[in-house]
Amino acid sequence: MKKERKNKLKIFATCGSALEFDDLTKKLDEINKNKKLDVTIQTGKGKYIPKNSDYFKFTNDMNKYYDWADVVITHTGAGTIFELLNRHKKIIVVVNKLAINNHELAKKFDDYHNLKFVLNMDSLFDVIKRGFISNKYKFLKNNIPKNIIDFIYKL
Amino acid sequence: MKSKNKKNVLYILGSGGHTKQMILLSKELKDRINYFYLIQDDDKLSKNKIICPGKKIIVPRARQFNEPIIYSIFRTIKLFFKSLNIIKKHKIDVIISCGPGIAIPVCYAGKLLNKKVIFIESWSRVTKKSTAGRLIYPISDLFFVQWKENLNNYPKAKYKGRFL
Repeated sequence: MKKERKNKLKIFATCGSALEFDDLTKKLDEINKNKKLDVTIQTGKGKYIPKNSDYFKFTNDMNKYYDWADVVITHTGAGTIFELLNRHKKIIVVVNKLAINNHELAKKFDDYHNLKFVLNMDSLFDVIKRGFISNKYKFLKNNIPKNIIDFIYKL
Repeated sequence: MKSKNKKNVLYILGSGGHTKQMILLSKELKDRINYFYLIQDDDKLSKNKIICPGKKIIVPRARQFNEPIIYSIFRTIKLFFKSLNIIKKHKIDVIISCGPGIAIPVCYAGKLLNKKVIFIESWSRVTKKSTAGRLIYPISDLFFVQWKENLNNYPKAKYKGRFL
């Protein structure tokens, strides 16, 4: 039993913290109805309780789950996407219809970094099955803090 | 050197990624400013993410998702007046935010009282303006975008890199 679990594809899904994203939780739980995948979902503000998957609402240690997973499915949260690209994970970005305006960033990364961008939830399973690897993203140099401090010190 | 008269900064947290960017900024600014965190009352997560100590000011949320716009407007006006009091009471010099809706009335209140407004357009905005960005840009003293493409929307903005 344990060995069988070991061979399953490990999927971690994150719904973020600002909005509920039960559409994703439900869909993934439904995809996993035969428990052929090893799924953990961070459900956030969602109310749906997964039946076939492990889940929790929030954690202070997302990195643990990113490391664990073979594939990470995420809402369009920019911070999460940057983090995952830098870790060179297999990433699937699913658009939450409550935040439909936020998808331009995911689309941009789809072009440049080969992450998978899913607008229509029904195609999620196909994307998971296909398998892929995204290109690594290097964090940019950030001079915003220095500019802010210079500005404030001149006041 | 200048630490004796450190500036009081009203530091607006939002939710999710907005908070994350502000926390990353505070990691760099460290103790060079006095922090006054503005947190929305339904935000249970942001408080625990704060690294640099400072006063936490809790205010009601300005905009709810899926609620009639008239409620949002009413709440925003209320928050504007509340912000005037907060800014006077804590002798705020500078307001910094990176784009949650709550920043709009707070920044306008700050401007009315002749305080400095620093705005960072969220990293999630590549070619489009955010509502907060659009409205705060005209009154901002320092305005950053995190994607070069977005300079087209905001000619006087600065592009100085990105938080991640």
